[in-house]
Amino acid sequence: MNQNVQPQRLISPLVQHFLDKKYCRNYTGVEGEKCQLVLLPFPSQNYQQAYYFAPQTMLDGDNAIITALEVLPDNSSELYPGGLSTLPTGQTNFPSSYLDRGVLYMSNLRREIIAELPLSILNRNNNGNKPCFVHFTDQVWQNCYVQFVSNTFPPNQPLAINVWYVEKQHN
Amino acid sequence: MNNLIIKRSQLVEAQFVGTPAAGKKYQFTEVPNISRNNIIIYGFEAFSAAQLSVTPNNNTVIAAADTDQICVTLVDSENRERIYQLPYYTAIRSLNGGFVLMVQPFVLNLTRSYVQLTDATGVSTNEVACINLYYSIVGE
Repeated sequence: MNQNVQPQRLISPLVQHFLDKKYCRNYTGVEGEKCQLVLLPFPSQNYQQAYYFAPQTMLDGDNAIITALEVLPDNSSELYPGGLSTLPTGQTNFPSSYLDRGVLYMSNLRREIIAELPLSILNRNNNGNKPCFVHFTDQVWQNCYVQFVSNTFPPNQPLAINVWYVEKQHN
Repeated sequence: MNNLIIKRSQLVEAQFVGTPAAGKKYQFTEVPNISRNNIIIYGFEAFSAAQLSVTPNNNTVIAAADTDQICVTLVDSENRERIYQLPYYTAIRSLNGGFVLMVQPFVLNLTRSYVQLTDATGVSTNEVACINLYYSIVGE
């Protein structure tokens, strides 16, 4: 008997359908090939104002498939240290305690909303340390924005988001 | 073990209009983009005020302490109750180790879907039960 033959995995048709349609994937898998830290400053504190991201051509759907999103916590949690208290710009990170007041809107070229994502679900600390997997293929990064449902968030503390992506191949 | 991938999502909410009452059906508010039996949902996630204090429509989300008093029913395009009286608490991601509830994909009839209170204690008028639907477009 050939010892090198791997046993076939048994997998239910429903799970196979989910995998084929990219509805799910193994939670221990890598988030993406590349990662970009994006900062979103809030020059004012206005309720229900759209704070748009600066253009990032590499993160547009023309060039990349976004595979995971992660809001970096401010390292205030004793349970899950390892966030980022100070950003690369020297500014203080956005406090995690305010994440329950914000929603990230992913949008495409026609400004159609692809996804509405409350910021708290993008924080690994709230998800048993699991990343938030996504599969966005037609986003335009500068059309994506964050809105707050309260104007009590602190000024001059940008939101830090890790964007995991796979580059699209161009001929 | 697999976890859900978000391809598209939409926050929807069911508002407890009037004096909250146990057993009464509170239907989800219409969202024109997804209310035409035009989405296939494959997962969803519920929120308490601990995850989202107020919805983008400026409605207060139900308190974490009250999430064990709600059941969710999702109806498909043939008016079958595909998810019938699922405890809301079950669909809160942080209570499931970070796993999102996945369901056998079906075409959702949003405006016939509803939530019910099993106990109105502590629930205030005009609070909302808010869930995030993870879906793809029919034919996409």
